[in-house]
Amino acid sequence: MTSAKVMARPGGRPTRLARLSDILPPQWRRSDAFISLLLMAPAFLFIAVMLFASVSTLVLVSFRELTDPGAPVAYTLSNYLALFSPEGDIYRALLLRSLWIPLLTTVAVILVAYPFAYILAFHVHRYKAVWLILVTIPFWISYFLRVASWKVILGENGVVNSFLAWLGVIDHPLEFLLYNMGAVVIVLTHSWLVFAILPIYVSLEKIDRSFLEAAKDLGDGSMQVFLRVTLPLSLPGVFSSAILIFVRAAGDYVTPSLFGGISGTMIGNLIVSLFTAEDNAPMAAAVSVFLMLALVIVVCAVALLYWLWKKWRANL
Amino acid sequence: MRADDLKSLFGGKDLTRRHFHKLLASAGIVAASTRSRLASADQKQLEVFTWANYDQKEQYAPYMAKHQQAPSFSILTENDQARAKIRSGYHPDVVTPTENYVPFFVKDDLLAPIDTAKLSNWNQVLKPLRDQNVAAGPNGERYFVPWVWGTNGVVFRKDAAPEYADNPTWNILWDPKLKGKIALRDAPNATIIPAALIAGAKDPYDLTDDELKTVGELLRKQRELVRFYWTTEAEVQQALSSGEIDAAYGWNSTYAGLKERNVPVDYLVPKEGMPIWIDGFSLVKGGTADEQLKYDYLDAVLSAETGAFNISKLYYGSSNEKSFSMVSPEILERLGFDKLDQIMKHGLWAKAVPQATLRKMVALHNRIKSGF
Repeated sequence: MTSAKVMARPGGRPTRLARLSDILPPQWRRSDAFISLLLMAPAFLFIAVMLFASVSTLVLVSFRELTDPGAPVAYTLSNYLALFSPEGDIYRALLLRSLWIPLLTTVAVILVAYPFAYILAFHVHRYKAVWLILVTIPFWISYFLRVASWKVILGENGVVNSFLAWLGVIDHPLEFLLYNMGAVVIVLTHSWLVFAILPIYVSLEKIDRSFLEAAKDLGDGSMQVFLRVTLPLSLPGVFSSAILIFVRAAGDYVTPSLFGGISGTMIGNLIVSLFTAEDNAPMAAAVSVFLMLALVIVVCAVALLYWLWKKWRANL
Repeated sequence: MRADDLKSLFGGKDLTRRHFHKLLASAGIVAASTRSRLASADQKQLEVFTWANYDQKEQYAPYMAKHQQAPSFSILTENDQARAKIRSGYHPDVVTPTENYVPFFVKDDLLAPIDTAKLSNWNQVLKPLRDQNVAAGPNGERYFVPWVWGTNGVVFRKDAAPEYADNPTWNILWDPKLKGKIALRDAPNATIIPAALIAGAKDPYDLTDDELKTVGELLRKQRELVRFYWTTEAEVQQALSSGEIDAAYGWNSTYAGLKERNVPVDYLVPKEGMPIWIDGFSLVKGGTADEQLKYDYLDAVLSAETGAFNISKLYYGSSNEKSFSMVSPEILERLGFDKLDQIMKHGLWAKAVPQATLRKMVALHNRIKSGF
């Protein structure tokens, strides 16, 4: 079989790809992998430029010495050493906090989103699209406005306090509603809710209903069906949304700067301040790399756990 | 205009009123200036690189009367960004830095000296402002003419802390009586300078390491009393008017906005010194418009009428002394400018902090704010 025959369209006219293949070594021409690579190239190039180039710039800057503009560029490890010096306690503590707050947020989001997605997937039969659109409505307004309006809810004369006072439960407004870690978690949970509902809904919706019937026929109760069939099959959606939410929440700085107070400041706030007020881009870059590495480690650990879990189930 | 005004663009009242209109206005000016550029291909138009609310036609009326053609404006949002843009080859004719950033512009050799003898309104500029020549050249060259200014003081509820009306001091922000009722601005200058003034630092704009240590201890003590560190003016105004807090670091425009809503607040001019920020104009090196156009524009913005407009419409102080007598006493009182001589006396005109010290200040501020 000649390569022209392989690549030619049914109509007999050679495509661009076919002409290209003529100049390729024969072992490549028949390679599916090569064709896949070719098809992936545009997306890959885009990612290479947008992600790889900017991240490598960031890494490069993080090794730069802090110098006046115009002075010759020098490279140093001092930014990273500063992270582990005694004065670097603030970076380490804020990094831990920036992993802890997103973790709480992710758990809270999944706990709220899962039942919602479950009911939508299994118990709502009409106008599903309408429900899905309704879920996204809070996200039609700007992130900042949506976040800021939580002040109205949690504030000293806010909705929660006024309501509790009206019920007679409290005589002084609750002050712990704002300006601490808890407030940040509440607001972030709301901010990222839709990003969990939709993936979990999709993975629940995809579940073949005959599996559930089969489980029931074999004598499982509803709870057992959920735990042994529905939940495991929906975990891909749960994991993907968890990772998405965790990573995004870890990098947030608007919410902690509005709601964080002293206990809820996150490392994003510090990075912004280093870049702007302190005019110390190298240190800011080093802290950013530090955060990225921590996130990569967490995400890899979660992926590994998921993989082990799948293997364990397969061997069951 | 400050960098974080951009944030207040989203922050409530300011969005609807000031900023939004200014955004619309600036869009309109862009459209208008494109048209006039076509009309006068023979003469190069003046290009002004300035903040969004500094491009209103009332602010350069004498220039219009003389040239019948508005300058073209491009909008700057941050001092650092403006500096970077000019450094990388953008050459407007006029730029509006904040005073404490001027030395950085001069260090990068971006500005051309201004001959004040060519400005007819120069002699009306408030003497304390005229006397200081920020980042002066070796032969006393002047790179910056001051234009609008505002104060950094304390806004407090008269009903909660009446005793401070006769005892204007930064110590109100350390008063244990107001525990949980104090808000500070989330900026290094806003926390550190007042503490330095209380500690009696020799130069609050160039603190030694020992002084920074004392300041740090003061701020840690203060942190126990603080409810929150504010980022947008609307945020602190809302908290003061609802009674969530009783005293806050604030600008005179913060006070004016609350007074307008009949909140029982007073503005405290601290006897230890009141830091003042100033925005003004500089000529950019390499700007290609006619010299005469540049000087006519500077002279126009320095006019008493422009200053009066800035006081009553932007709530900012004017560098032109005459402007204050052109505004009604009620407005001056509302803005806290009835105490002009007090401000001039206790006013601490913002100076550029040396970069190394600035970095230490920012680091300290971040530590305090994050609980260290």
